[in-house]
Amino acid sequence: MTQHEGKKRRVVVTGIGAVTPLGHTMDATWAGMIEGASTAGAVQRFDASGFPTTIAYEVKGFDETRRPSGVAEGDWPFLNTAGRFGVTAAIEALAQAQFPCTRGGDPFRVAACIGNGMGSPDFAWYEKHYLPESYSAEVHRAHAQYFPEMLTAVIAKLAGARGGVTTVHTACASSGQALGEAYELIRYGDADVCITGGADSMVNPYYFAGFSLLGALSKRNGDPTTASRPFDKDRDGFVLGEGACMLVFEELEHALARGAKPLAEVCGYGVTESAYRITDLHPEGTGPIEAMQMALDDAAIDASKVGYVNAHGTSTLLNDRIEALAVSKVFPKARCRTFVSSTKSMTGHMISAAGAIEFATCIKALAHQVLPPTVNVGTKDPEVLAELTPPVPTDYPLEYALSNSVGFGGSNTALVAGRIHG
Amino acid sequence: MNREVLITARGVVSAAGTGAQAQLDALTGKFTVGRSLAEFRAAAHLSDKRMMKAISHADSIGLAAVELLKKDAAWETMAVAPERIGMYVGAPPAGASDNAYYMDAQRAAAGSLKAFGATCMNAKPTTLLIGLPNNVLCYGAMVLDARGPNNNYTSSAPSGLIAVMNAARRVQRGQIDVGVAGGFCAYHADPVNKGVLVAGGLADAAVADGAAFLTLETRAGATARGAKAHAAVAGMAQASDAQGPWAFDPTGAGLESAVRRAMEQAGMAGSDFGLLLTSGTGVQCADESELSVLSRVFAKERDAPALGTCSRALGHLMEAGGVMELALAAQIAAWGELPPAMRVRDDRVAIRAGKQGVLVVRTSLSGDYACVALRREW
Repeated sequence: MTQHEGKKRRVVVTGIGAVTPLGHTMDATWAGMIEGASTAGAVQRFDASGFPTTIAYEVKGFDETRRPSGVAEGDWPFLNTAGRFGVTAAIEALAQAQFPCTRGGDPFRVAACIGNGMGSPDFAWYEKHYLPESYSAEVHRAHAQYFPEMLTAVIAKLAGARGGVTTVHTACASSGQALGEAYELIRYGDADVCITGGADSMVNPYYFAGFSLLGALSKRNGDPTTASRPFDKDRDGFVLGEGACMLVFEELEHALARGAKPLAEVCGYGVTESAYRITDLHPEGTGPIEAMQMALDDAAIDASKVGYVNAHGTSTLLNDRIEALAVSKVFPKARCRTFVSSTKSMTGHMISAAGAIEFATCIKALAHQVLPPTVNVGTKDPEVLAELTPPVPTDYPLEYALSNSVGFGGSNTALVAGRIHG
Repeated sequence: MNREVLITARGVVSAAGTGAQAQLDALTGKFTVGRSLAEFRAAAHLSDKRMMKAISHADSIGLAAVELLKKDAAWETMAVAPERIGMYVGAPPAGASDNAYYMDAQRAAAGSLKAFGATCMNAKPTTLLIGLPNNVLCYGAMVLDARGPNNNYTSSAPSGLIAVMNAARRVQRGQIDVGVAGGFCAYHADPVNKGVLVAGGLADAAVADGAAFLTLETRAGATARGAKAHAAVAGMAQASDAQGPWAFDPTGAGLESAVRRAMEQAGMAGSDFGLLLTSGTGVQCADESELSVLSRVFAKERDAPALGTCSRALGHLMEAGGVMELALAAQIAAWGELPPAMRVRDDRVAIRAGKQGVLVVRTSLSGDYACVALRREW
């Protein structure tokens, strides 16, 4: 098993599912990452020609009208686009974990903790109903799909989760925090199993407008596949992505007793609040530094044990510079051989799903002993001190990997994953 | 580590007014309370008025409660490192209608996305931020310089109580020394989201605006700075029916599990409780289920605890609900008899002074439950 020892209750991952711009499963997503694929293109979902940014990483070929078996017909209308990504990812994760198991178990020891987005309200719905104030009970009922707890309710039903059912929103840190809370629920004995993760889709006129006003989106519309270029000296903003990633977290002995295969161990969690500004990191990177150190302390490992950091790496000027500074302080080159990459160059910024897919990427890296490639970096920003992963997937011995997330609103999270041997 | 967690300060806002006394006066029937805070001017309570530029009306109510809490807690006496202060918030869902600029631009664009995009680019840069569901967490953390663990829950009606539970757990474990937790909502300013609640079964007249935040700290910390304790958080639990959106288990098995586990964690028996504060949403089937579970759990008690609800007087405070009850529990328990405005049934019910426990229950339309057991410090 993993080298990580010394805790009463250890938490492992027994299932992962994903729907991302790279593919509709976790394996397809990982395969895309190993290829260094970037699928960004002109926005298909709506006419974005009036906005300064017209590109996104959309999930392509996903049939939103197809209700997966297992999801009740009555529950389906409560799911918006992100919710449908989320449920599809949850079904994959639960299947891999072989959960719910058929051999009993206490459903009140099974929890759900999901990071969900702002709901991406439908422009047409507001056009048709809000502006003319034309409502009915049916119209309002249809709008319930934008309530974030609806996805969690459907996932809890799929998983038979009758313990705590919780929905989290801390912007881009949402699913990182959901995973962290799921880990703590199990670690401290409040649950044995928790389905967790995140889902989001902000490829939507309201959010294109909002992020554009903040100057956060790349305007490299003529070259969409290389527009998301975290840590490149010519980066000019992030590219919105969408999708979902769900994981089954489980207490180690519980997993082994029912014959589930642990994919990785969740070893440590750190969470802080910058309390600085709503959109900016502190210039010294204090919040993320404390979160990463807290996660390492919780895992009871030295920074030098971590071979790979999946950075938040949005491709914005300030985030990447400050985050790289924070990473270089926690993992100093003098004693750490830690490689850093941001897979947002391949998935775009999946916002509330970002922390989950990036932690899942760490698990894949540990399982395959491979560093995900750094793509779209022509010339590394000289102010970025961290050592980036090579431009091609590279075999590398990894025992631990860390996923770092930061969010508008100042929440910072870090999660440490440990390799499972054998 | 399992440290004792005390409630030592409160910041509350509802249509009854600001502060605990206004709520208590409403509960004793001194005046009738509306449900809307549409006219509430939060800026008067905010230490930094610039916040008003980038927050929604609901956020402003939440932040007013945080500022009231800061005063009530005598925050300047809090000798705790910012990294040891955690903030946990229950927040309502975001809505595009929160953001008048989007709606004005959409109206002007007359259905053209291209025109909408162009019009929006004339807005102020912070337009997007008005709709962030974690604004109160962010600005509240700035107000209190709370830089420790945190979270923001969008879990509907139990959100505020879930926030309190998570803050209390971290204080108990020693991960933080002070927790600030609560919830807020203002559905009356948001016809879209309020309409969803009504479609889900809540009576229009029941949905109320408000906010409630608590300070949670260790006994040692409270004693050291001379803070008065309102109550101790003794036990807490969550459960779900896992029946899907807007569906719940009529047998009440989920709620019963939450109630029994909260009592077990508190180390308290049914006979220890003098007061039960129910969710009392006014949704008939949910209320019946809640009452049947509480009757079942406490059926054996010779002196049954008084069963009351704040919702009848203050309305259904959604994300602030449950937290409001925790904030007021000590003073309600001290009345000796359940005030008429809080009665679930019409009969007179004594609140036994010798009993040390109060149980607060929160339910949601989708069968999610949170329950907190308090032990008297009054």
